[in-house]
Amino acid sequence: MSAHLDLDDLADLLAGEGDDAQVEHVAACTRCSAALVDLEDAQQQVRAALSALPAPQVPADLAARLDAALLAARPPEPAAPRRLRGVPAPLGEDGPGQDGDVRGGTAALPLPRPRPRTSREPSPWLLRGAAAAAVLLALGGAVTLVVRQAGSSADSTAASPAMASAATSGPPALKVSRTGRDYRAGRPALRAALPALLSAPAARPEAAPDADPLASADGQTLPAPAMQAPADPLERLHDPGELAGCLSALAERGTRGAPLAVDYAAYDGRPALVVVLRAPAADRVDVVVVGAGCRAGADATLLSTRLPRP
Amino acid sequence: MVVDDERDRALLAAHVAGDRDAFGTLVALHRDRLYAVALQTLSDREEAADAVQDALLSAYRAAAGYRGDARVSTWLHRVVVNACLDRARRRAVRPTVALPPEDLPATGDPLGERETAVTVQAALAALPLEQRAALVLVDLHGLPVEEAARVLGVPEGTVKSRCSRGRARLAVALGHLRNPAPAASVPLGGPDASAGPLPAQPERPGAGP
Repeated sequence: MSAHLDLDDLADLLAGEGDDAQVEHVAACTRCSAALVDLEDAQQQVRAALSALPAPQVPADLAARLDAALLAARPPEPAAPRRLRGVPAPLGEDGPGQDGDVRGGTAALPLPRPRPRTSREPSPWLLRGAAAAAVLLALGGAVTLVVRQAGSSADSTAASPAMASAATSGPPALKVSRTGRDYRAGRPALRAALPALLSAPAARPEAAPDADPLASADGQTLPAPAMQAPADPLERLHDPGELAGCLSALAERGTRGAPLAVDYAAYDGRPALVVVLRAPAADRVDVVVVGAGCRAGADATLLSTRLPRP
Repeated sequence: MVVDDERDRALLAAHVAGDRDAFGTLVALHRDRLYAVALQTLSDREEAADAVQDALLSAYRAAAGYRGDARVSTWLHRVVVNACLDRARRRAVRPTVALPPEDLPATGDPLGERETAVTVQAALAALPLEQRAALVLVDLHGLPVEEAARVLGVPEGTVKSRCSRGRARLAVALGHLRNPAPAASVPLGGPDASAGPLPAQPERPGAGP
């Protein structure tokens, strides 16, 4: 070998990873030999400088996020009733200290279970709508649930006083988008989409039974082919009650605030719901991507991040 | 160390067996170090936070697949480092930037040491990703080369080479090299330095991929 060694060659030699030709060259070349000694001294200084770098510690907000994410990943308690905050427990049920009452101050609210409906019972859409409003109110955000449906007569169809209250009380109104977009790129894609998601039009809560969930508030079918497939796994989350259950599961985690926007979309090739929530700092939002299995008590988080609020 | 690993293995086994609190306890024991590795590898607080969260959720779900042939802490580091490398490669179109000073923890000498730390961190952030990841594990966190090789999934010789090449580049960037002439043929990491193929030269053939 006649050419002088470059920096990578010398570094490899110092690491004991040089080849025989390089070793022989350094033994015969005063210039490279001196450069090797020089580099060895310099590397010692670099090691000292690196080892002196202070070790960062987990910030409190990340610690809370991690705790919340791991809590959310837990499977549901097997025999415990699902509970939501702020709903009084029926007398005679679940005395203190029962499993599942882990958060304290909560009361049982059984999840909706499909069963035959009698003619005297109100439509499940009405019940779920009312539950949605109650849950959203319980979140503290007085969120207006926005679900675009065909044939909605907006102001006249509140299913209950709670629903009416939810429909008319203060902001923020939940913005709903159905982009069908795959946010595979993660944080950069979410950040880029935030302005559009937060400025999506808001509509009124609606509880029209048998309405076409794929039609817009003005009766036009939404141009969202990816969401229109008959077997759309996200279809369940178009149900206001189911959506409210999912949002309540998210809002219970960590320091997240009221939901601001949702997007029926995809993540890494799978149907997913993107939820934008208020963050503790006014200039930030929490963005959570959940799978189609998101429901009360199990938020099915796929990705969670905190982003600057546009 | 052995005691720590026995404790970690017991926690992981308890998690797999259904103990709902075991994994959280395990994470609490390691999260500071895992976050530090992520932050120093990615040089972005939010990206690091996301990477740690994604990685720990993956570990939570994949715990049953832990084979026990490496320390639990090594396994956790590997999951986190892989998440960091994946993120860094995905964002390859964006240059890596140094940590802003406010993301560096305070030191005892706020005037001199903090300034030095910012300079060193900036030079570290400019290194090729693979070299940076190796240096973070070995020189910043003191992992033995053997363990760093397990974390990175490469042969020990590759870790040695990446660390030494990274130190050489840092020596140039920090002005520690009295005669930097040989560095002329080895450009420091530019805007695409976080992406790879990163070394200016191929790594040693004998050192593996």
